[in-house]
This record gives sequence, structure tokens and C-alpha cells, in this order.
Amino acid sequence: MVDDFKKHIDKLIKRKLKDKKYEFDYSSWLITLVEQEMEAIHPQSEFHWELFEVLSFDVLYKQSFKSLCDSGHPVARESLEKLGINDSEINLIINSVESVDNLFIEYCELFKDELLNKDNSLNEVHKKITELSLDCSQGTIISHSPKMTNPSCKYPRLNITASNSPDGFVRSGNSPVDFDMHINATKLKVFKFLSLKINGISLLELINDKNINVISSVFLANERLVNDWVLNFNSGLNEQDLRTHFAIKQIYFPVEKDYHQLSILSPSGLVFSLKNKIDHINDRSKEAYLGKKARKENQYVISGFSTIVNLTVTRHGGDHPKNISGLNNKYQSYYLLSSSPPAIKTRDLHFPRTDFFVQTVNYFQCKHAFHQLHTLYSRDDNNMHIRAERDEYYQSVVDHIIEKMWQVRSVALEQYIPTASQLSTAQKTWLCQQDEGKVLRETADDWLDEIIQSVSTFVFHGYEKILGKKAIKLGYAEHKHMQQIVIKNKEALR
Amino acid sequence: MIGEVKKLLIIPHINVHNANALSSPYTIGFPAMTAWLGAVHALQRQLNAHDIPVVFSAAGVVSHDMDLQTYKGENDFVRSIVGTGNPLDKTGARSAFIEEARCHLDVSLVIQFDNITIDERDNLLDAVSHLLHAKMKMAGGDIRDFQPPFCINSEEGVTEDLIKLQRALMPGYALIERRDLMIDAMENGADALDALIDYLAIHHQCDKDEDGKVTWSSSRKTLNNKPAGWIVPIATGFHGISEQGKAKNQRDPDTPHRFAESIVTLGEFKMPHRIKSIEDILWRYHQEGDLYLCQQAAQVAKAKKRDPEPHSIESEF
Repeated sequence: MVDDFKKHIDKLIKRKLKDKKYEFDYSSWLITLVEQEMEAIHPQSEFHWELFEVLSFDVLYKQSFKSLCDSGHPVARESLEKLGINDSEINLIINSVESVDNLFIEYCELFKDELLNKDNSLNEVHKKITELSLDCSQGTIISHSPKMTNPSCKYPRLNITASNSPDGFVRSGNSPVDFDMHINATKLKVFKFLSLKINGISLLELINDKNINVISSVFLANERLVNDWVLNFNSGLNEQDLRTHFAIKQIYFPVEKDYHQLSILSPSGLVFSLKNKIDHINDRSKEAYLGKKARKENQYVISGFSTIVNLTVTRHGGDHPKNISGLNNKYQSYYLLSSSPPAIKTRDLHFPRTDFFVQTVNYFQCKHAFHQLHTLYSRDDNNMHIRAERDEYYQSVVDHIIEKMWQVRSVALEQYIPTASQLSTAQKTWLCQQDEGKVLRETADDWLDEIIQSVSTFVFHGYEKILGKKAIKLGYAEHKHMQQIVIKNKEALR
Repeated sequence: MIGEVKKLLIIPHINVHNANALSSPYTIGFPAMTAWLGAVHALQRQLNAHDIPVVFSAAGVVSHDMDLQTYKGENDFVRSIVGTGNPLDKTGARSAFIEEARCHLDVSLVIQFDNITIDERDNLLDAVSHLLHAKMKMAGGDIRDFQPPFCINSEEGVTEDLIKLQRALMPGYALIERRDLMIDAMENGADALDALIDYLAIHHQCDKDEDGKVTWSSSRKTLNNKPAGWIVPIATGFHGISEQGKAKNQRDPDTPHRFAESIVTLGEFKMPHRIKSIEDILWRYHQEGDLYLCQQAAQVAKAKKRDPEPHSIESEF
């Protein structure tokens, strides 16, 4: 990837490389490139276009050189090092790149054809914007996309703003999102144009606020023309359609003695914002890059990193995501977070042959609880709260055993072979699912006492085994106490 | 509320085939809580139509097994939905379809009921079995079979009653609301999506000992240094996004209509032997302002504690 950056630059300066017989000085070329003054966002010379080509090049997947510099990603530095540039110059280049306005890149991308057609004239661009403002009447700004339910739903078209409150719900209003747009697939440039951000404010907001001064100064257009654009855009943008559709799920929700009928829509802004956040955490952040690299090489890194696993990817519109909405076209697919319960029956589970407490559970599975217990035992103070916390950790070990017990029972019928099993009678009664064993399990108690004894011994020895030499020697009273906790779970262990 | 006797109807091990696993636009897996309360409500309506005046006031759901229909290739990081393109079109090709995630489930329902005398219980159980066999759907899926439903009384604070119930539901995982985790994070300034992701992500950290040896460890976010449990995102209701009124094409012109979106919060799957009261697993409908919720009493109590009403503050002075 980093080599691609060098190749890309070599391609850009091919002519210059040929001309010069000596080795090309990437450093001074890049410094002059990024340090040039820019009066407006319009590229005025070939040099500006070269700057655009360098900054917008995707060094990593969907991460341009500019975005890598902005986020302080180490790959930006690595790619410059590959060009043989020294440290101080790298700092200079990265700082200058950071100060370039993102608007410049987005604007060049959007109006590339118009800008390249005529030198130093913005007439083509202005004409295109006028065209876009007229096309706008075919679209509507929305916050919830009905086409994400079914592509044939052309309405409702809603653009809502909801208030923010710490009520614990993922819903509109509780997380900042981008706007979305419904528009004819061939006119999607309108969405891209309205998404341009000037000093952090989207063009859509500026148009809604009728901020003519700012728009005219950015696009170097006279105020009358801008006024026309704003009027055209406004007439098309905000037409809402409050019809519901037969393909939209309409559900009844009981409210006191009556019902409300709810048409359920997908908040596309939130859906794609979630995708963006997950991609950032999993792949695109510098923490993920540094952390994954350090873990591979077993190096130390302060910040650590996070991963979100068990994701399911899905998409709308198949090969034509542009038919669904502006944001859908921009992101193409999105993620679904897993909400599955834990599985009781797992494929890698074996029914114990000799002893459940040796073959099925082991002390290391409860490592966390034993370490936490050690911290509690090592404390000088001893009060109600600490004792309660200690009991909770004992309980968590017992819970683990109960969970394992059910897992083993779930495979008992398939895996238990009476002739080959060397399980103690008590454990047979406890774990096997054969009918005679089950009856005994429900009616008798003596086998259960043996199990309770084994569980408390497991907790007692587990702590010593995990902590090794560091373990504090526990007395008989503590063992007795553990037993009390286990006895409380008697029925759950049955 | 010690001493309150709850009458409970348990429908054990309902096998649901092809239930809707797409519980909200952000989640896949266990069906939304609204689907379960909806099924219980539909059952009540059908029973009422058969002249059984039962009222189902709350319900809990315990998952015994779930088989989600997704596929993950050998080197894939993400899963994709296994879809079916039925029926085939006239040329025999697969028809175009919108991805619909499905899952097969084995769940038990715990339903709190009222308005039925002890003598009428057998009648109720017969009718429930009949309806479940005949025409009910659950979470959009077909009911394949279930074990015979039964009624029990559970007195709040009586351990024997609770144990009896717990044994009937084991082994399984009851769905419990953990909105408190989200509220806590959001009150500390996190936005809703960040708060949700933070609890679902696996955080990798490394430590260096005195000899310079590096050890990496991975964990989920803990709560007061304790594992938070099996935390999942769950859809628990809807958020009304338009004014109540009428809309063209609505199913029923006589019922007030609103546009809405699914809301998601955190939940926990917990083995029933860990619950301290039956109330811990019961969910109820609740509507307040723009929010249409399925919620648990414990969460309401926590929210009240967190946000005392103004007059209670005044009374302290």
C-alpha cells in the first residue's frame, strides 16, 4: 500500500523524472506543493491539480493521504519515509497537509469535468450548480429511508429532528448523523453537492439558512446567481410526503385501552453512522493499526485497541445501491450487531469419562474471579461490602459450574456410554439424562451432598492453584463459608 | 411488595421455525422484545374472542437454543445472511428478494395473567394449546411444537415458589433489560451509538512486566471491575417521529397513526437461577410521550432513583 503511494507520485511527475538526470528530490517537490498559497478552493494551476492528486490518493483502503495526515495515522509518515524524506521535513509536510481545507478535495472531485474543461473560468461550474439546483426538485431530504424497507416505496419522505436526552436508547436525536436524500439515481450529484462542508457546516444548512454571502464567496459567484440557486434548492428540498405505504410495516402498539398504529421506518443516518464507527474502530483508527501490528510482533503499546466481532453485513439495492438513497450509495453496505443468546449446546463439548471437575471445568476458566478474590483477601480492611463482594465472586465460580453442568447434560444422551464411563455414582446421577437417573436426581438428596462438597473443594483449591505461591492460606472457616454459598445453590445444582 | 401472589402461565420449549431475526436496523439475532409481548398480546386477544376473559399483564422470555441462519466463509471476518428466494420465477430462476434474516428458536414464555379463577385454569390451558397448534405465529415464525403449558402461583419473597419456577425454566437464558448501562454512559457524555458499541467491543490491552515481557489480554467492558454479563443490543420498542394523526394508506383508518423507528438498548441474557425475583424477567408495555416501550420494573425503579421528582427534593428542606 505504501509503495503504491510512491508509484502514484512517480506517475504524476513522470515527465519531470525523465527530464532530470539526477535523482528526483521528492522532498522539495512535495514541500512546494503543499505549501503553496491558495486564495480560493478552485484549482488555478497544474500545481493545484497535482496537490489534489496527491492528497486524494487512497494510501489505505478508503483512506486518502489527506485523511491519514488529519488523523495522525502512522501510515502517512511511513509512506513519506519510503520516499526518502527526513523527519523534520515529514513533520513540515504533514502539518501543511493538515491545514489544507477538505472542501478543496471534495470540490475538485465533484466538479473535475467542469473545472478541467475551461482554464481559469468558473462559468462551467456555475452552470453545473444551476443545473443541480434545478435537478433538486426531483429529490427530497430525508432522515428515514422507506426504500430500506422495500425499494418500491417511494414515500413516505420524512426529515425529522429529535431532541437529545440521556434516556439510554439508540434513536434519532441521541447521536449526530448525516442527512440522507431520495433522488433519481442519475441526479445523485445533488446529494454530493449538498454534503460539501464549509467550515464544518454542510451546504444544505447554509442553503436552508439562506447564507448567501458565504456561498458566493466560496464559489466566487455573484449574489444574484447565488440567490437563484438558494431559491431553486429550497423549492425542491423540503417537500415532505406523509403518506404511508402498503409495503411499510404498520404495527399496532397497545396504549392504555386503545392502540396506536406505527409505520416503522429505518433511520438511515444512524444505520450508516454505526457502520462508520465500527469501520473506524476495527480497521481505520491509528489505534487499530498500531495495536494489531504490536500484538503480531508482541511489542508493547500504550493505547491498546478494540475490535467488534460477530458482525453480519447486509446491503440494500443489490447492484444498484444508488436507487435506494444518497447515504446508501455512499456507504453501499452496513453492519448488523449480533444479539444472540449464549449457546448451551456447543460442538466442542465432551461428556466427562472419569471426573467432571477435572475433565470439564478447570480452574483457569475462573481465573478472573480468583484473581479478584486474591485482591480482596489481601486488603487490610474487612467490612460488609468487601464480604458481599467476596461472596459474589464465589457465586460467579458456582455459576460457571452450573452453566457447564447444563452444557454437559445437553450432550449426555448422545455421548454417555455406561460401559465405558468411570464417573462416580453421584456424578452419574448429576449429569446423565437417562430416565432412572433423572428420577433419582429429583427424589434423593445424598448424591447432591457429594456434589456440593466437590464444588466447594473446587472453589477452595482453584484459588490456591491459580495464585500459586502468592496465594494466602485459607482456613477451615473460609472453606466452611464457601460451602454455605454452594449450599444456597443446592436446587440450581440439582 | 412482599406477599403479592403472581399467577403465571408457563409455555415451555416453544420451537419456532423461521422467526424474524432482523429485530431492528442495527441488530441481528434474537427477535425483538416487542415481538414477544406482541405474541402474548395476540394470544390474549384470541382467548378473549373465545370467551375466556384472561388478561396477560406481563411476559418474560427464556431462550434455550437459537440457530441463526447466517453464513461465514472460511476467511471472512463478517457473516452474511442466508436468504431464500422462494418461489422461483416462471423461468426457474431465483426471484429478486430483500434479505430477511431468519432463526430457529427454542424458547419458553412466562406470562403473568389475571381475571381467571382456579376452576377456569384447565379451560385456559386447553384453549392456549389449541390456539398455539392452530393458527398462532410467533416473532413472524411458525410454531412447530411446544411442551404442555401449565400454571403456577408465585408469591413474591417466597423462595420455594421462585425455585420451582427457576427449575422449570432451566437450562436457558432469560432476557433482561440493561438500559442502566446505556444511561450511565450517556450521562457521562457518550453518544448513544458509542455507548452501545463500547459494551459490545472487545478491548485489547497489553502489560509489560519488570523483565520487559509483554502480555496481551482481551476483555469486554467491565462494570465496577466485574464482568457485565452476556450483554447484547436488543430492540425494546419504538420512537414516534411524527405527530399522531392520520396518514394516507394506513391499515386501519380509525386508529391514530404515527411514523416511528425501532429503538435499541442493551440487554443481558442471564440464567434464571441467578434471578432474585420473578419480576426480574417480566416485561410490560409502556407508553410515554414519543416512546413506545417494552420495559422492566427494575429499570423503572432505577430511573426513578436516578432522577428524583422535584417535590421529593423540596420535601427535604
